[in-house]
Order: sequence, then C-alpha cells, then structure tokens
Amino acid sequence: MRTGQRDLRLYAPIYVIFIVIYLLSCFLEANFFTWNNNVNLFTRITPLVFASMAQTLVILTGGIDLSIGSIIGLTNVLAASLPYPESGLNVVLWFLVPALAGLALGLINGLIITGGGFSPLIVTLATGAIWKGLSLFIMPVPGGEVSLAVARTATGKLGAVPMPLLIFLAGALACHRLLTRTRFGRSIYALGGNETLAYESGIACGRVKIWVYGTAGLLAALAGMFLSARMFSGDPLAGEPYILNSIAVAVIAGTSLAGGRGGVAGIIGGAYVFLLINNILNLLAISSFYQYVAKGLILIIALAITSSGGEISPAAWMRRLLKPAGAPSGGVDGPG
Amino acid sequence: MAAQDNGQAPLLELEEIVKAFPGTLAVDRVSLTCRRGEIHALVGENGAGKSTLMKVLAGLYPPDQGRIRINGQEVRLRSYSEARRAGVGVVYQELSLQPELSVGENIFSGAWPRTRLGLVDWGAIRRGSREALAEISVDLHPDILVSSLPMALRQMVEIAKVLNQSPEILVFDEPTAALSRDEVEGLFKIMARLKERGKGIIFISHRLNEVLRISDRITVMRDGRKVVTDLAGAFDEDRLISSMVGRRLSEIFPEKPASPEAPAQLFSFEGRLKRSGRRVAFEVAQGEVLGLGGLHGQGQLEMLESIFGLGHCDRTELRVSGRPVTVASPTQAIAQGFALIPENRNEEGVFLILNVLENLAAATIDRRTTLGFIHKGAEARAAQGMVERLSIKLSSLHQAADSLSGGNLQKLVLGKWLISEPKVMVMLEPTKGVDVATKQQIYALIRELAARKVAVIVYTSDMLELIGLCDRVLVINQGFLTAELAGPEITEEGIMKGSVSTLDLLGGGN
Repeated sequence: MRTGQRDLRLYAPIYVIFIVIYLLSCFLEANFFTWNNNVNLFTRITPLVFASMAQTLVILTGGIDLSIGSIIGLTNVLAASLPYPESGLNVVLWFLVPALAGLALGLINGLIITGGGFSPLIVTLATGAIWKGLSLFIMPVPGGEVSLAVARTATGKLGAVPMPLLIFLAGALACHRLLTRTRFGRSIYALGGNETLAYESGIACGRVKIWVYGTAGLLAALAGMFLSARMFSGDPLAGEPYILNSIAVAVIAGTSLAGGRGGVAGIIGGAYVFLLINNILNLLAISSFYQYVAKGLILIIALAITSSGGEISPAAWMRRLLKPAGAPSGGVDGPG
Repeated sequence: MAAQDNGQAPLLELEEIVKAFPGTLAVDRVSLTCRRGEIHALVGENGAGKSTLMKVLAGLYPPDQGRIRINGQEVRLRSYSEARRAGVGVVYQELSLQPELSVGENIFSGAWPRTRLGLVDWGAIRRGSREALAEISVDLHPDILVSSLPMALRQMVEIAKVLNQSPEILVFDEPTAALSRDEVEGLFKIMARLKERGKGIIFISHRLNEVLRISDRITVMRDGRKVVTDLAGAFDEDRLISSMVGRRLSEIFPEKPASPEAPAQLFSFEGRLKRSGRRVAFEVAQGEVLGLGGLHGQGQLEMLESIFGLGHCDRTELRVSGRPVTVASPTQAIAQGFALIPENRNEEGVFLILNVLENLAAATIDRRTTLGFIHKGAEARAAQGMVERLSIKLSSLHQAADSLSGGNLQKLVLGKWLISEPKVMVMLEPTKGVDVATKQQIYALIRELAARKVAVIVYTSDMLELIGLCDRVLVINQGFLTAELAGPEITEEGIMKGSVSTLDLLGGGN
C-alpha cells in the first residue's frame, strides 16, 4: 500500500459500497450469484478497469484525458483489421500494433500538452476528435475480424481461472506497483501535489507528463484490444462510453480531480459499482428515463462517500454534499 | 456613537482573546485597549501572534474565547464586513488591491456607487476617490490602473480605500516594510493627522526605532501571549528586544566561531538583476553563514532563486570552487550540490497532500532507485534518520504533511534538503512563522552545517537573525548592493542604513 493505514481508509469506502451493491444484486436476481454470471461480469469490467486506470494516471497529475475513448476505438479497430490468417507472426502483430499505436497516440497528447503548455482538457478533446475520424476512416461501420485463437485466449480460461479475471488483476497490480514503487509513480504524485514544487525538487515534470499520457494511451489500447477480442470484431465508436465512465470510476475509486491524491487500488471496486448500478436498475425494470436520473444520484452519493477520505459519518457526507467547495477554511496560514 | 466621550469607555477593548489553530495556541488570553487619538504599537517576533490577533479584530478569525468591545459596547465580529460596519479598518502589509482595476474602483472596491439606472456612477467614484486621496494629501488620478503604480503609491491607495469606509479604529499591519525612508515619513504624517482626528490606531511594525518614535503606548507579544503594555516613553530599544525575545540574544543564537584566516572560497555568484539592470556579485566561503538583508522585495529573492536555475537574473555566472558551472534548472542545481529552502513553506516548500516520507525523499528519489524502482527500505531509513536528527514530531512517516504544525513543516523542508547533502544551502526566511524553540533548533542546525563546511546563504527580514546568526551580511536595496558588513560591523544601524538609503542618501543619516 502506498501509505499504509491512511490509504486503506481511502479505499475502504468504495469496497464497502461494492459489497453492499453486490449483495443487493444477489437478492434481486436469483441467478446473479452463479459462476457463469460472475465470469460474464469479469469480462464486462475488464475494459472499464483499464480505461479507468489510464484516466487515473492522468488525473493524478492534475490533468484529464478525453481522448481515451477514441484511443480505445482506434486500437479496437486496428486489432480487428489486422490480416486474418492464423500464424505466430500475426498473433505477435495483433498484440504489438494496437499497443504501440496506443502508446504513440498518448505520447502525442503528452508532447502537445507539455510542449505548448496547453490545457489537457482542450488538447485531448481535439486529438480525440482526430483519432475518432481516423478510426471511422479505417472502418466506417463496425466489422472486421479477430483471430479466433487470440479471442479465445483473452476471454477463455487458464486452468480453472477465467482469463479476464487474471488480466484485470494483473493489470491493476502492475499499475499499483508502478504508482507506489517506482520513481515514475512517485513523480506522478509529486507533480499532481504541487507542480512548481516538484520542478523545484528536481523532478523532470515535462518528461513525466509526456510518459503519463503515453502510459494512459497504452492502457487504453489494452482496453480496446480486449474489447475487440470479446466482440470478435471492431467498432470505431466502441470507446465512446469510456470517456466519461473512466472519469467517474476514477473519482468514485478515490482519486481527487485536483491531482496528487488517489490511486488504482480502488478501481476494481469502482468499476464493479458502476456496472452493477446499471444492472440493478435494469432488474428493477426502471424506465431508462429514470435510470439516468438514478444513476446520476447514486454516483453523486458514492462520490460524497469516497471523497470524504474514509470518514464513516453520514452527517459529514451530507455536509460535503451541501457545503460549497472552495469556501475559506481559515487558519491555514497559521499564527502571524 | 461617534461622540467624544473621553475618559469613559475606551474606543476599543480586546479582552482575554484566545485563538487556537491545530497544534498551536496562536493567541493566548491577550487583552489590549486602544483609546481615541492614540497610536498603539503592537510588536513581537514573527509568529508572536500579532497578525492573528489583528485578524480576529478584522473579523477574519472568530475568537475561541474573549470579548471585543467598541465604545464600551460588546460586538461580535464574524466576518470582514461585520468588522467594517463596526468601524474597524485594516491596512494590510500584503495589499488587498486588484492591480488590474483603477485607483477609483479599488477605493470603492465592492461598494461601487450606482446611478438611478443601476449603472456604476463613475462621477461619484472619481469625486469620492479624489476626496479620500486628498485626505492623505496624495494627488493621483482615480482612473490610473493600480498595476502601473509603484509600491509606495499603492500603499497610499490602500490607505485611502480603508479610510473611505470611515473607520474609527485603524490597524496598520507592517505598513512601512516596503517603503523608503521618505515614504515612511509621509505615512507617519498621515498617521499623526488621523490621530488628531480622534481615530484609534494600532500599528504593527518590526522596526523598533519607528515604533518608539511614533507610538503613544506599546504592547509586546511573545509566543501568543501579551508580555507587557506600557507607555512608549518607558521603553528603549533594549527593553523592547528583551521583552520580545524573552531572553538575551546570546542565549538564542549559537556562538559564532572565529573566522579562519584565509577561508576557502566555495561558491561565487555574479548576475544582473532584472529589476535594476545592475550586476551583483558575491562569494561565500566553506563554512560561512552569509546573510542577505534589506527590505522586502529589493531583488534578494530573484538573485537567490536564480542560483537554483529559476531564472530571474540575466547572464548569471556561478562558480563552485572556482570552476564555472551552468545551472538552468533545479535538477542541475541539485546535481551541483545546491539546495534551496523556499520562503513560503506551505505553498512552495511542502507537498501538503503527500506524506512525510514522500516529502523528505522528494529531492533525492533518483539516488535510491534501480531501474526506476525505489529502494523502499533505504528511503525509509533516510527519512527516519532525518526525523530523529531534526526531532520532527509525528506519529508515522506515512502521516500526511498537512497535519503537521508550522515548525514541523519547516523542519520537513529542511530535512528534505539535508538528505541531499548540499554543498551550498540557500535559505529564504528559514524561521518565518515558527516558535522560538524551533528557531533555536534551526539556528543550531545552520551552525552545524557551517561546521561541516557547507556554505550557507540566508535571506531573512528578521534583523535579529542577521545580527545574531550571520558571519557576513549583504544589504540589497532596489537591486543594488548597498552594504557589506562583517563581524562586529553587523549592527541594526548598519543594516537599516543600507536598507532604506536610496543611493544618493548613502551616509546621509538623519
């Protein structure tokens, strides 16, 4: 864990919410708590976990990446457009081409943002539009094919363990290690905590940022590749829902949009909560009109709880919801 | 209410005011009265609680305990506007002006008069501003942008803005810190005139000679408590200092070692200050503590920050042991063995949302990694060692930095740079806002560094620190090096002379 006790408290609320919603689902749906359904859930949350981890890395530096959806879309299309005949070389290509493309697209984001000193919001909005256009150029309508061997590996089983479970657990662990154990990860937190101070502490802020966007691109590519393996085909717009969903999951998983605070340890819980809310609303046969409203409300409540830093106090959560942010708290400058 | 009831209730009474912040009791049962037509000076070291007390009076901090009476009536001041309505006006050291608005707009800030149509009544603003400025004998067009004015005139606009709210009680919080001698005289004339008109004035200043000259009564604060209130005539500079500090100087500052005959020059700086376009050069020897003094904002910070690659000087030339070095970024500065303790530890010195360990390790991550992976054990040992060496009080290395008190935060910044084992340590206001005990520790630490042949450069606005701590003092005034003092030459008089003289006044005295 990054900081022992303190971070356990940071991630505890989201897993508490996860357990509550999971149990609720078990009661609402007779065959929810079956192995098959759980395997199905593993497959469904994997791309969301990767997209949200990509978003979390960027948010930790104080930025945001709106191009994640388009990177998912483009890599998804690439993965489904590669030459079909099954051969060792093709399988290697299937893994390398979209992954490297995602990395490159992310690095381009980072270079434009740091090189020009532009706002990540606008830059990634723009680059996202460009890459969406590119995907549509390559594949105007959903289609293409994915090597069956690859698809079976990604969504199949290793022994008795479903591959998607292994993939998202390994991905989350690797990402968590990256953030907590490496110089790169430490630099991300420092940068998000106070960029000027990070620079004055000798951290190469520009380079770190470029690679953060690059890594986010790579993680988004993994999400896109998994999606294509799951669907056996490509869809240029497959990534669209992940733009805002990745932000929502990152935040309810405990990452502060202001940067420097949070991590990926809560993301699996966050992704599950996000998915299961949809599930429950469907099971309750709530009309889709009200579903949007309910989903929004539930997210706000989850946000209030997880951003309270693990304070287990409904009163404090309500205060947080009702108190306008940014009010001067007083006393920060200490005794004069 | 504004009736002259001399001899009855004083204009302002603060009674047993208590204000605590997490970790510090900033104001501890302090009482203070101010009469009509009185200039009441409030003095004390940085962190003594003066500004906090005044912020209570200004309605910015609600007091934890105690009462405030104005004209004998108890008042509750829960916000700035309540204090304003109760007749309290504060002229802050850090001016509260909007630089991109005009003088007139600033003077009427937030309460712009309107025409019947609900539009801003520019005529009324101009007339009112002229009157407010005339009251303090300043001739300034109300349409000028504040950003185009020099510091001293901005101060006058600030005063006019406060006077425009027709306060009965005026607080001047270090108004002279950024002013030259002539400008200070002008300000004192204004204060004297306000005094004649029956206002109560509270005057905070670090310049003891000014305090002794202008005030009627003086209250000394130390460590959040009131030490003494007495007539100004009952004080001299020595009594003021010993009341402020609570002990003699020699007990606070570590002894200065005798300087060696031919000290080895370790570091030299030469650069052109953008502010004055003037070249400034200095050298520091191994084991020397060099003080940099002068008023706020005379170019000292720009100069010292440029040592660290923060680019405020043109054509900087740095030499370490006679060898020229290039420093274009903090990364390069750290590689050369430089360290910079920034002035504002909350905003520039500490990652408040990160934990103690991450803060202490921040400048030296590179030194404990293999293939990008951090050696957690080595890192924790280095941090733990520094926590013990500086006796930083904390419950765990994983505690968030923002839960530490001011003194411990300052130690955190020091610790981060001590871990980097610098050859040249630049410190900006190293003891700002910390208590006396921590100050003593920091002074001892600076001496310890010097004993280990580190060259220490200290910028401080605390006169006593320059005198008590430094082997040599440079005084900078408006981007010029106006005095260089060593050993017994380092006196308050010598430093002040360099600080307030414009160049033609050098040596002119009173």
